[in-house]
Amino acid sequence: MTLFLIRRLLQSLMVLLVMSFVVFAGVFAIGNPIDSLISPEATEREREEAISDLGLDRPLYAQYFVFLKNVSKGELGTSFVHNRPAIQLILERLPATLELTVAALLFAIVLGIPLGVLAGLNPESLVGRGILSVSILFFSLPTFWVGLMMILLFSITLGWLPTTGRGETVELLGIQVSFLTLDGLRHLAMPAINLGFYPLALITRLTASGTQENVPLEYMKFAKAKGLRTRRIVSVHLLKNILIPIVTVIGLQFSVILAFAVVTESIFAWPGMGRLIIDSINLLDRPVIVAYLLVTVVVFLIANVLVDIVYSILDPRVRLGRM
Amino acid sequence: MSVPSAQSPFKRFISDYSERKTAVVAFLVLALVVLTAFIGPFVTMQDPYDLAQISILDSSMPPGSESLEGGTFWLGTDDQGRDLVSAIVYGLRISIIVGVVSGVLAVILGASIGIISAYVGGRIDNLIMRVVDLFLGFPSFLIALICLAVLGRGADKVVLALVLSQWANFARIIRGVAIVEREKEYMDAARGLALPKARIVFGHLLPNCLAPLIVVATMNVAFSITLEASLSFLGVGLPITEPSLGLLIANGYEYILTGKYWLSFYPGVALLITVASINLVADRMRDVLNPRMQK
Repeated sequence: MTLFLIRRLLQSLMVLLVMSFVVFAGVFAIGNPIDSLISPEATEREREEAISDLGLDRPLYAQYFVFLKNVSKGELGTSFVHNRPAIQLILERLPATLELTVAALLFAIVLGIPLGVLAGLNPESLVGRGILSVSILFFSLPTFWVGLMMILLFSITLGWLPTTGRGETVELLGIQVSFLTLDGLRHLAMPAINLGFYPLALITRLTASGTQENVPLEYMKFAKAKGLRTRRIVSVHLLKNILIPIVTVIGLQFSVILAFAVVTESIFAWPGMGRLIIDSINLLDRPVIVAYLLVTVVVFLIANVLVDIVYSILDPRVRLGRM
Repeated sequence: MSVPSAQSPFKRFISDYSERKTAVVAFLVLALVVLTAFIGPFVTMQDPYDLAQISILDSSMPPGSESLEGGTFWLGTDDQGRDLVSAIVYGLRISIIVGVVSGVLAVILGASIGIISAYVGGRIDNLIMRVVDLFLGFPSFLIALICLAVLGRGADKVVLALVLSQWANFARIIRGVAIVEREKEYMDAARGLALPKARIVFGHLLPNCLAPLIVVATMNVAFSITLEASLSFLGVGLPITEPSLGLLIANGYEYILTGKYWLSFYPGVALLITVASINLVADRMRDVLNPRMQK
């Protein structure tokens, strides 16, 4: 286990290093940020000063090494626009985004697995076919449009839920969270459900096909022959065998949802990293873009390691040390 | 299939496919959508982007209103008096073109790289697959977003971003198939004939690896359309001069709080119908083509 973690840590660092260069080189190619930062009336001298203050006059590789050196000290540069450390801007907004992502994923898991088992056990029944057809519809729903329609229905027409923001937050382990207050939950509900539709469809379909493939197998027949109740067959025998691919997909989906949170956050004005990154792209705020990408990559890598650990818990045949 | 018959594979595919009524309906809807997108612009009541044809006096009318010049705005108008039906038809065309072009290009790029990787093998294969892994490690939405951040807005750039965000998937699939196909006898025969390498790879190996791609490539078109719409909605995709469905929805977003729901609602319905019909068709195709599901 320790060996596994060390090896994964080294691998992750390599990926991070490669990514940091790709990101840095890529982001560097984006226009000239000076144009959007300095007023057109500025004199040539003011312009030069600003360029050298920001270190934009040095060659690309020199900027990259300065960048790497700063990264190792935990500094990712200062936002051109906000004039504050980029990493600070990102980390301030990270908890809100993570809360939204986790809530969306929970929604998808809690609803998706039972629905999938139900559809998989009765694939030819009306309920089973209904669930599978609706799941394709959910696949096809454009997240941002559904978000708008939810605002239209639940906020404007029915007036049940607030449209924007996080609502009242409380501090939990030094982080502001919404899900512990009623007002926070009311704000969290729509964005989380909106973001959860896609993984819900995916988990439902995957569970259904896993169930369908496992039902004719010997161990399922044996369990039935022993006279076990359906509930026990499903929760103990079936789930153990179909959870591995589902956990894999949940792990992969975590990063997809984290990326798509950009869209949902924009619609519901959820104060996470998403809105910040879109604004930063439009304003060419390079340090913030780089900080966002690196923080996102770190979150992905952590999620991957967690998935591997869950594997070894679910399936004793998986030994982490040998992976 | 109860009685084995001497049907051609294509006919058998059609008859298997038609067993599900929803799948047949989905196919007909899809055909209608594509037809609308390409013939539609000739029959709509106006060219919504020709300022001479729209009148500010018709602005912000709810669905079903009468135009000053006689026609009916079945789905209402926007704040500049643009007929929403016409705008959707034009937007649909842009969305479908971007989705199909980027989908096809992603398949071509991915398949070429994947097949070369499999055929050459060894270190180059290893290197290519590492790059593929790197791309697959990131959600395609994020890759597309970064590409557009670097490239700027524009239809060509959106297509490039969509291709870059999806080629790796195809490369991975094709390589997996090609590694098995490579060892088969017809490949020995092709090598025995001392054909040029390019001809062996693209003339003999590639056509035998394409079948598993059909379903994925079809779904990919649907995904590309959604992705483009999302990016355009966020303001980093297509420019205002090429208003796809995503941009129409984004424009309507500003008016949704004032109750003019139709501006966002109907373009979204058009998007949903397009994407859902493609997905339903692809889903049925997968069931029919999957040997494990065949009775």
